[in-house]
Amino acid sequence: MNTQLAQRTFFIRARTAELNDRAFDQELLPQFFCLFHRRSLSNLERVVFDLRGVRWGNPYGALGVVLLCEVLRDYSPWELEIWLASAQQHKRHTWLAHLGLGQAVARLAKVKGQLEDEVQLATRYRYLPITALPSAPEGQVRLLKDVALHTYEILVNDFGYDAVQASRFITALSELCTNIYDHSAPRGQMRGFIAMQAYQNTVKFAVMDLGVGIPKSLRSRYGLDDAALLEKAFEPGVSACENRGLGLARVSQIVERQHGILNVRSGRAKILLLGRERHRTLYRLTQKSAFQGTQIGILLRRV
Amino acid sequence: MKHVNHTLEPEQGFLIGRQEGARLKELICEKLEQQEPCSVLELDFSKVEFVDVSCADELVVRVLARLQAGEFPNRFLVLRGLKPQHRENVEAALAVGSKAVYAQTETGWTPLGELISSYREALEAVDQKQQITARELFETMGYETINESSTKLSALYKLCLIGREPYRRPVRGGGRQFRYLSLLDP
Repeated sequence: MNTQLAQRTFFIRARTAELNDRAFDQELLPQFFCLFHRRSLSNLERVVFDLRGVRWGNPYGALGVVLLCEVLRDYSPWELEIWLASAQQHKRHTWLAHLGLGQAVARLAKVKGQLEDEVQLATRYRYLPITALPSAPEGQVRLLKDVALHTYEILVNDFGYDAVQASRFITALSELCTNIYDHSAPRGQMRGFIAMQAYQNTVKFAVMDLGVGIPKSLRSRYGLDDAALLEKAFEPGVSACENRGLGLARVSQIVERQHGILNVRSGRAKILLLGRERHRTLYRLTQKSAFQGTQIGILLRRV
Repeated sequence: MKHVNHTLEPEQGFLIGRQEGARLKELICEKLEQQEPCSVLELDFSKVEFVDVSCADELVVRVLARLQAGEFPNRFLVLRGLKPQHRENVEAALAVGSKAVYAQTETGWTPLGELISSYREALEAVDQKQQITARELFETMGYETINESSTKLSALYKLCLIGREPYRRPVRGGGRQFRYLSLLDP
């Protein structure tokens, strides 16, 4: 009976206690790809994301789970379940609740063991919960304004950034979000998300989408391979749209200056920028490990 | 030149998005229309914390485009109280629209945007003298011909960076003479 149950269920497990960039890229994604390379999918009935061991993480990891659920919902008939730790199990961590992971996936999957205190905080000052970028222009502006306001307050008041630096970062962040609208094909069917979390000396952002990805949108203009195109996207003025291309270039400058970390994954390439070391590593991914859209994680430190 | 102030007071100090910019652009254009000729509208950014490129494009570049198209003849726009955090995005919008505008920054009044150096020099001369004719500029700058001086002044006027008023009677052959005026308060 148990064997049959096991055959009918596929588990994607977070094996470490921290649901962060590494957990998404090196644990969840490989398991996700394994699912599609199983010999027999015919008797599979459900996919379970077992996140009960997760105690901490960042917006990149949490948003990554939402993207995986979105893709599974699109391409599979299987029942989806997310198993989260309950508040009693991990009393001291409420970050998943504040990021609203349960709420974000509730429309896609059955959520079990949802954190009891999963409510929007009265003040969203330290967190911007996982938010889907709205498709209506009015909603987009409202969200961008909300994100800009909170980011500006945190960077200037808490993290000691000057107004020019904060303004540059907000401009770049808003361009990253706008890129999602511009580069989603077909237009009007874009799915993008943003989340932010400020904790102690760091503020972390994640911006992700299920669009065509950076290399594909730049290929018609620059005609290189995925890795070279992703590198090119870091140059000022490089964009699929005229008079744009400030997003990644500016974010990377600020990340370097503030000793932060930038992680960009799109198509068959990934770039990790370590600001403190001023070191950028380019990873070439195989076709098997390429994921849809673009996933961007940003970490900034207190000045 | 008569100076009129128009202070931007956005909700929480943030000017974001084309929509908000377009709404404010209409208010600015209405105000420009209401002004008498030879007026300078000072768009005051002192209560603005952040302005993005799209909003700056609507607020500044598109208003300048309408001014340059002659929709509000002899009215002018300058930007007052521009903070360093506004400057980059306003300049990015000006670069996209190939426009230039006078702005008061922390270091004083300066033309922002696309303007070739010889025009900048001519503009500086106009600002120093407050009002100048083509002949006076020709003498001040040591141009080769008066025609060169006239061309520069006329171009700066078309860019809405200086004003002008008729000066003396038309010269022989029907050409009108103008005195060109600085947009800046002495």
